[in-house]
Amino acid sequence: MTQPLLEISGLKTHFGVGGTTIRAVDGVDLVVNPGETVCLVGESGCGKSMMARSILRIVPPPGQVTAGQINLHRQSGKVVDLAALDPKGAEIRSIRGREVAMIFQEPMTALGPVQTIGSQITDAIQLHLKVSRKEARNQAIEVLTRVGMPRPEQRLEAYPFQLSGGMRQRAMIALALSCQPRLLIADEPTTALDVTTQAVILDLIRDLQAEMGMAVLFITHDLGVVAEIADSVAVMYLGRVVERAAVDDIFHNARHPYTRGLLRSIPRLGIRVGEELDTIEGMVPNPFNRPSGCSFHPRCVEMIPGRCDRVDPSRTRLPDGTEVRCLLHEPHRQETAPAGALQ
Amino acid sequence: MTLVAKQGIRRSGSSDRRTPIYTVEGLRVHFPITRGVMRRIVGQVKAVDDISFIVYRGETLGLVGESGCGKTTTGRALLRIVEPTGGRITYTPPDGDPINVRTAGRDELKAVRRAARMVFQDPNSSLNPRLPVGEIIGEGLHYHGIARGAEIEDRVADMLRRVGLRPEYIRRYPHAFSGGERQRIGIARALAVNPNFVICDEAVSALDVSVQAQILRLLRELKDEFDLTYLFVGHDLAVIQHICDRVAVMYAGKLVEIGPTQSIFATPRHPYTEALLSAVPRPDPRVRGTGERVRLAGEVADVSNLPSGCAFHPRCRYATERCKTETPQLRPVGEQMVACHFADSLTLKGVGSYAA
Amino acid sequence: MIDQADIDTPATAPKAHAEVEHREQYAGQWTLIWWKLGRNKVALFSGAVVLIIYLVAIFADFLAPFSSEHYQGRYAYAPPQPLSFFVQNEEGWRFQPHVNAYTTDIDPVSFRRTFVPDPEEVVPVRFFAAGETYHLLGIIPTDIHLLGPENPRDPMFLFGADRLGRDVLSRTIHGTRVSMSIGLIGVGLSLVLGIILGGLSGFIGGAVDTLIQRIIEFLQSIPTIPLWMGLAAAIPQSWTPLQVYFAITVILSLIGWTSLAREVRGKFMALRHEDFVTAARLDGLGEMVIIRKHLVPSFLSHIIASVTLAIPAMILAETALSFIGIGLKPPVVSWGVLLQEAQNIRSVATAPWLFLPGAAIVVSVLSMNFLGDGLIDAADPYGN
Ligand SMILES: Nc1ncnc2c1ncn2[C@@H]1O[C@H](COP(=O)(O)OP(=O)(O)O)[C@@H](O)[C@H]1O
Ligand SMILES: Nc1ncnc2c1ncn2[C@@H]1O[C@H](COP(=O)(O)OP(=O)(O)O)[C@@H](O)[C@H]1O
Ligand code: SF4
Ligand SMILES: [Mg+2]
Ligand SMILES: [Mg+2]
Repeated sequence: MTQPLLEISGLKTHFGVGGTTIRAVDGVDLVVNPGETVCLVGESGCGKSMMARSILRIVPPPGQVTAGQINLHRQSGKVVDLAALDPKGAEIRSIRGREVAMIFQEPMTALGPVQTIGSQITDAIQLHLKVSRKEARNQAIEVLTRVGMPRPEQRLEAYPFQLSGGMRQRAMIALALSCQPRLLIADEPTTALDVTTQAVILDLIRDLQAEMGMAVLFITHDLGVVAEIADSVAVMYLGRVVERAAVDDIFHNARHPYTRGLLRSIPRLGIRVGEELDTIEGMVPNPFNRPSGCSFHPRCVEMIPGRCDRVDPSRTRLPDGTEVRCLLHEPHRQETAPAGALQ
Repeated sequence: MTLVAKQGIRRSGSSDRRTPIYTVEGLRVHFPITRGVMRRIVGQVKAVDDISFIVYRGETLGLVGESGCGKTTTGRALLRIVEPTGGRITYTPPDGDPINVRTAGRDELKAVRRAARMVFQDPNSSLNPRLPVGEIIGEGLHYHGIARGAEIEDRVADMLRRVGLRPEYIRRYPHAFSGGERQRIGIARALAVNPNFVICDEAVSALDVSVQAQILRLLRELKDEFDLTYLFVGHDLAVIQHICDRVAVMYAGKLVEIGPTQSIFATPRHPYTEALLSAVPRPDPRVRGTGERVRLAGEVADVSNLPSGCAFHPRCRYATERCKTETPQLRPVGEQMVACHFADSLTLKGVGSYAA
Repeated sequence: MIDQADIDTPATAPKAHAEVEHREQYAGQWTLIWWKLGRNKVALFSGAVVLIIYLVAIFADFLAPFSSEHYQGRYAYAPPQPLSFFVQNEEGWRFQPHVNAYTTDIDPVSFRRTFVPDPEEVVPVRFFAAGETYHLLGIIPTDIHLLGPENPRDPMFLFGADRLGRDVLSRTIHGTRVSMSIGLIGVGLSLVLGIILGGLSGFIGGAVDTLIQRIIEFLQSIPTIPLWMGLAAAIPQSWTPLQVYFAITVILSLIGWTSLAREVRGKFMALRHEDFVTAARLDGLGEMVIIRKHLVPSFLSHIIASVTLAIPAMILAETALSFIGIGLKPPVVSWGVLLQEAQNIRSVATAPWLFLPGAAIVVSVLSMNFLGDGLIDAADPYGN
């Protein structure tokens, strides 16, 4: 096995709001290998974005990375723990946009409104790579061409508001890819797009990845998108990864009841008209009102009474490599152990 | 019935017992584009341009298309939230004479709006955050003169129960509810006045998958319970296939295909429908890369500056010279109505091959 | 009718998990705004200060030791006297609020009279002292003042005296009335104009909107200071102080309403197409009911916040006009008038206490601004 590119363990990102603590990310473990596409799925509010932002240390205040490690194997061979870096320091800034780049659902969060596309991309290139203005401009044209922007020389002079939604998304991807990052974090980049545009952007990301050999951490809530692009999948629920497996196992051999429930509740093309969908009952609890034991137990159809509501499941690695946090798959443990002691 | 016959609208399908509830003929909604201080009109946004369809009692008709193609505007025109600039809209109550919605006076319009209701896409902006849910749901009961005083409260509590919320919540404010619960409140408001037609404008699009499934199920149960007819506007074809009996596909303000869900999904006849279906991601990694995918190049046509001929021709892979000059008319092809010159000759790919 | 619902629906009903009642769930807009404001300590403190200032304005006659015209020529330019509460005699310390009287020195060089507090001579003062008569709240005749010398002829100048021997403290307190009310009334007038014209503009739209917007643009394009100066200078000399007062208010609100009207119009425009307003229309509500029930409550809090920020601007405008001598004039006392009287080089050097009304302006303007900022933040309790 090659060395992983990014290893996250026990990551916690908490928000202290008016005396209460919102555990947006609460002990996440995740591995991204070079060149691999990892999909992070989960319903809104489960902490996907905060987890992604924690990697680049751009969690909005009052949020803070409070525990855990984010080990990035840098190009130089050095391993840095991003969680231990100063979020405003020089080291993280040399990583952001250079080795790890991010794209967002709303392109305007990444693209400044008052600068042309061209100057934003050339600025980014010059910030990280020691090249002349002219060379940077050529690279900008090249990267715009690569993301399929028609007439790239002219688009260099365009302002973001002059572009359509799909083109803006391409411009943002071009900006993110301008320094050839080794890891691209994509936070729901296609959620606001039409399916037709989404399909084109997904193709684009896939092609670019094959071409440039970068790894992609792709965040989405759409299992269809996951099936289209993922190599491996991490399913999040209330700030934790509850199942992590190869994409085929997630769809054909899911272990966690939440994953199974999600799969049953998505409408699929090709089903007969009027066929019933299964639903997961209830709704996602508030992150500051986390249920005891397994936090999914109030909605779980396979809940073991007296156990799931008391014991907090730990991460279990199954023989085929799947990792799951569920008592159904955990070797039997001392039942009376207090939940806190298990962490 | 006689009205429909008189208007010469072709009834698709074989069932003669189907009675129309909403009949739309040649509907146009054009928004003027104005410039300058004097608001000179310099152009038209043809948001909806000459579309005709019938919604039959008891069915769910889906309306799909990319964003900006005029779905919302169509739905809103049916209730005259936006004023149509042309065409004819007829609402036929179960017992009583058909009402011409476009020329309806104040009282008639109010009657239409009581019988035909709307569920909005965004559960946050469609509920006034400053009113408790009891007042939001009871508003229609009060102002449509259906109930008074304590009776309103009883009916609201009953409505809350029907949509799966606890009647004790009646005095809570919208911010105390999750997105899915707010959508239930929106549905309760629509149904409180006992309508028979509901326009669901992307009613589940803003919801999470697990909540979306709950709301879809609720909508179905309520349909049987209240004997409703739905116009279901959406852009997620999997959802549409799941809930609709018939589907209408819109592109750039025009209807390009309409017909029974089953046959549209299995054998689409319009190249745009084929492309839409092909773009839907399949939630199964094993079908990844199987079959040829149709990718639409370019952008959705600009409705203020439509391409000549078939508005879809710049993106269509089957387009010929004829498509650039001649506008195809909606015409029957098999079970469907299609607006494409080559609808009979093209063999397009549906989703049958993916059926599990 | 359809009562089997109770049996069917639970399938989709969200299972209540750990159902906790929060008071927020039952809180309406104003309660939420109040809670949010309550978390902003600066705004809350400023609010208290503003409240106190307005109380001072209302009870000025009672709080001020003297009327604004009371003078003792002997004590022209007398410096402030510190107030002490205890006197020492053989038996030890005794509670006796007092100030020290002055001895007068004549400067041998400049022949200028200077006052030095005389530690020997005590002027006893008392709370709720009898003094000049006035009508409390304009109705109750009384002569009780919060603080006053026991003997009305004795000097008591806690903020010092001006060139006629008038008590600066009393005049500052009396000035509160005019200065604070001119802001309030001016803004009230702007508000009426702003809401009516802005509302019409936003609601009717079309040509009416265009017309009102052009008028607003025209008014806003005129430089304010020259406009005010021109108009203020045009006020006939023969007008009574009361007439001048109202004229000045009208002049100030002539510009003030435009920005409020813009804001109201903006809110109207934005809200008219909100889904909940459409939903209300479908629910059969008439336009007037929609305005009253949905639109006005949605922007009222924002308007209140803007108004709070508009008042200090008015106060400053009045001060500026009066200071350059074309606003209010004596015998009216406002902070601007007081500062205008302090306006000569001699007072800067020898009687700096004449600028104490300036401190009152700073305190009131700052606290109004802080309160207004806090209100703006709290005005939409539903944002993230
Ligand atoms: N600025 C913030 N203040 C307080 N809590 C926040 C903030 N931003 C996010 N959160 C909390 O963090 C949780 C996770 O948010 P997020 O990562 O954005 O979810 P996702 O991307 O999965 O939809 C949310 O439940 C939210 O309550
Ligand atoms: N009030 C309006 N004024 C001008 N143009 C409008 C208005 N409402 C909608 N449009 C335009 O009409 C077109 C159709 O919009 P809409 O019906 O909302 O599409 P959809 O619901 O299919 O996304 C869009 O191009 C939109 O910009
Ligand atoms: S008419 Fe021509 S351009 Fe339009 S969909 Fe058919 S083949 Fe394509
Ligand atoms: Mg997110
Ligand atoms: Mg829409």
